[in-house]
Amino acid sequence: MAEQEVLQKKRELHGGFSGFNNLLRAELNRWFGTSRWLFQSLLWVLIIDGVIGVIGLVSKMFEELETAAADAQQIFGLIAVFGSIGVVILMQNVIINERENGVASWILSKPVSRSAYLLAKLIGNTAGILVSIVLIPGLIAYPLISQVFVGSWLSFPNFLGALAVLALEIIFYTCLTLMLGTLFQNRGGVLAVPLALIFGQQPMIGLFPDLIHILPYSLGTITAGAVLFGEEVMLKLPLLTTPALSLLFVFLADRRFRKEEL
Amino acid sequence: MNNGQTRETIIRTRELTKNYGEIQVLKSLDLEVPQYSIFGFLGPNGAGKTTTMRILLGLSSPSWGTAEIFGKNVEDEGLEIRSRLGYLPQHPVFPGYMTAREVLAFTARFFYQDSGSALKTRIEEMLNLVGLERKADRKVEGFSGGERQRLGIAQAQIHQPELLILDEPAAALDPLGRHDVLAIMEKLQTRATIFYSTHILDDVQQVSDTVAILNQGEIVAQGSIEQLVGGDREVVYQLVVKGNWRPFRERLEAAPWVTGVELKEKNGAAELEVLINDQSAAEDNLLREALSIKNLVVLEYRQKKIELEEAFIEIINGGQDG
Repeated sequence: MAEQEVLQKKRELHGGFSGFNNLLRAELNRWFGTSRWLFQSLLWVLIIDGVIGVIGLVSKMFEELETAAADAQQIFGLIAVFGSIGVVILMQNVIINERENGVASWILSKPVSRSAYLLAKLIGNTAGILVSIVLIPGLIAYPLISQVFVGSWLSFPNFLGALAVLALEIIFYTCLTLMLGTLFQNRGGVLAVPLALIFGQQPMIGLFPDLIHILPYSLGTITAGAVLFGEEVMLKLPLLTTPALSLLFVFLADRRFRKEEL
Repeated sequence: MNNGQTRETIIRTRELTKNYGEIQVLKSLDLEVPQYSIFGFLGPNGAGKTTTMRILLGLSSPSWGTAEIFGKNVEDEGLEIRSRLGYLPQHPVFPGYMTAREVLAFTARFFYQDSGSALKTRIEEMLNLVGLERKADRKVEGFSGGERQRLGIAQAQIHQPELLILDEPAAALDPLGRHDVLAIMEKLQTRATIFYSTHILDDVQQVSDTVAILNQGEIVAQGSIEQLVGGDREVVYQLVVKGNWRPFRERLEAAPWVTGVELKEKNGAAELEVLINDQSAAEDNLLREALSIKNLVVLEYRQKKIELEEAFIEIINGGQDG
């Protein structure tokens, strides 16, 4: 009876989110319907787990494994830095490319709201990034960290908790880079600001210690390690300020993008 | 098309103005596009055609004035308006990782619920219409300009919109492709209004019923092709004669229905342009006068037709105020 099927017009336009489902589906398909997720996962496994493996081997060679737990904590700080750089590289083009080549104009000439366009970009790319930069390299890092650094199996739920803390930091940079893509017309600014933050957080906190309660710096370097070993989390505020800042970035990106001349 | 019935206005702009800093790109544009017309929007490069279209699509905001489509304000009711129109950009670009079929499916899902085989059938129809059926499963990043243009036309009409806004629809196409596009436009006129920009004046003369000419952000002429090429110009007849043409010229200059005679001699023949103030007198007498003169052979005789291109250049150069 396929011949008798007729096309059903969409019944209503969902105001601020009109077109969102279709756009999100396309964004997810761009990651998971192609080999992109696999390529990115392999790349970040090579970078992140490769570095973990090398550090582990060097530590073993110099018989410094008595400090293994401390090393394991620092490993999360390292993953956070590498992952954040990865996010900035992957996200820098997301808005600017489509704005420059005309794809954004074409999509927004359909019954699509600008908020839906932006949100679909954010959620689709966040999903792809979390899978290929956090989840897959993280799952491969689990036996490495357990066996090379600690010498016994770490609590898996704790490990997942530590990855979740890392994910907060990764999402922070995803939102920040997305917002910068709506503010800047060129890639220079979109790359420079988050990279300056990634590498400048530590000296900034040295100068203004209270910033540690606001910036996401402690999530990878301190909090993830504490969660991993089931210790008390000393710096709780960044667990709130990081998602709050991420939401603020999305809000500002939305406000700016609504006024964008395409 | 509508047999003289009053047609609804589909696009209406009032004092539409767009400034980029100090530069005024559109200057108080008043435009009316009637329903079921193939409305040619002409103008030299940088005249403001694309800017006007972008404002109509909600991609850019006017600095002043209003624009309405289907009687709705483009700034307030953009989503609803865009659900009823199709758009072809000047340089169509689609996500490179998609195939042509996927681009059409992606576009269709903004308008229709994903209804399986019916959607697939519509996509096949569109691919056949623009001649892309054999390239349907190729990624669009490898498409030529002409293929992208064809895909652009297919995606613009996949939901059978009431209004098509086409920015230079035939610019990237070869003569055969252009012919196909014009045929598609004529076919679509039965159910849609087509508002398109172009600089190919032959195409305009072939398919458009109404045109507007934009120059430096201002409408300098608007009306039917006939009005534009006719206007208030004097009627001119052209004759090519051979032999004893001097007495013929003298008789013409003395005739009350003639306002002027221009003559050029070429290869032993004389080319005359006769400016007329009474067309019926000219129709009755002009050729008769020529044939009555001994030793004068009439090689060619016709009423001079003004081509759109000629009118366009005249208008743009300020020869006519529209």
